[in-house]
Amino acid sequence: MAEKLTPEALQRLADEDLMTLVDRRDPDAFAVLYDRHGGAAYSLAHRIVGDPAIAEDVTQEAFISVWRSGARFDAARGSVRSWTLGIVRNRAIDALRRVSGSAPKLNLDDDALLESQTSEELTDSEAIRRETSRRVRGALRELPDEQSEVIGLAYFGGFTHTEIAEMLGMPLGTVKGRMRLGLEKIRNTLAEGMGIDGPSEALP
Amino acid sequence: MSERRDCDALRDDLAAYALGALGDETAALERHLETCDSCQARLRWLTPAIDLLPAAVEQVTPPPRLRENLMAAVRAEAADAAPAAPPAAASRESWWSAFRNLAMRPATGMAVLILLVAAVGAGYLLRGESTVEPSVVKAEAMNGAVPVSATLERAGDDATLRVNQLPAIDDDQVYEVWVQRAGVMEPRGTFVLESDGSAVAAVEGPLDDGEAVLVTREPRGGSAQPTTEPVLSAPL
Repeated sequence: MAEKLTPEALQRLADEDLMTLVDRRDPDAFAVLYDRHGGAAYSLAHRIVGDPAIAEDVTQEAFISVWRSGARFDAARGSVRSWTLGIVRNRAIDALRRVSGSAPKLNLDDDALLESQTSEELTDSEAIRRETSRRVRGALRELPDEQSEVIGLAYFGGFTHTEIAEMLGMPLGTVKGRMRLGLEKIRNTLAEGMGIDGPSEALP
Repeated sequence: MSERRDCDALRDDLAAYALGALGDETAALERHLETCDSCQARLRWLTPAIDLLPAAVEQVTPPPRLRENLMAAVRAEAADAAPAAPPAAASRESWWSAFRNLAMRPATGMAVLILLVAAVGAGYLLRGESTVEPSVVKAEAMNGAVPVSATLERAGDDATLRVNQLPAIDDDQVYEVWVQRAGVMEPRGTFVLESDGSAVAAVEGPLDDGEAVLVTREPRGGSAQPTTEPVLSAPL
């Protein structure tokens, strides 16, 4: 059996290397992954389902799925973080649909809530997470409303493009076009560098 | 050349797909993606924009028990899967008590179900009961008005209930499994349904002298005694 890594050594490993250990059923490697991404995962679930208990449930399911299906992680298709948050997002949308029948509910803007939440004591990594979040929201606010609206409805609301078109009384092509323009704008802003990781090659 | 034109037309679809919003057209686009390098490249280029969206939400701190529950579940599984696992009885005890802890908490229905299924699988391996032929019986609906489809698979002192269809329940409810022995209903775990109405639930032993496995609807966390009429029953 391979030599056991110390907690300090695990902390220094990249996510992808931790996933290799998780795939070999190493709970300590899994704990490091959870400590890195659990907060973002829970926050995303909370944003989508709007309920702390369901968000907890969703996050737990998603991380158990990461633990179980580490072998399905494919580094060529994205980072561990985006893979994990993708699982969280899909499970949160499933939960949202279970709770509210077939139609997810609207929960578009929580900036007001955010401002009221800053007084509690934060760890360094949480403070960084919140600072990043604040800057990202600032960047997203630069998007035209019509683009951020369809992106928010799709990603956080779990609506399909056809549902959004019906909801807004717009042609399907318009909805999809706004999604594309909005995402391209976010992507180009990233390429210009906002301090968020991401490759900066040109649009293919 | 025509492929190039098609791919330009798919640019909007790729954006909707990246957002998880392509609906019924998802499978068709995924088939195209398998063989189209330029669409794959385009999707990869868009991905960092999608990755940014979770960072834009209000950042909240998860409750510490979330980590505790997860690590308890994961460590229990790692121990069961390890080649040098302790003897079967001890190991069954440990996962069962882990399950009981989880079952007492709200909001862990799905995780409990996953644990149960994994634990039963591990239990088979540890005890090496490959010689026991599983027997399968069909479960009967107890109330003709509700659609029910399920089977009970038994191997020795373990049984697995496979539900294809049961009525949906509220979010604060679970289905609870009971073994009826000498007319007494003994609680044997809870489960919730997948989004398609299916479920797989382990029925913890002992099953000797059991008359039937029954399922009732109970408040989240389960009950010590049934509080509703059984929806299904399978003879043991």
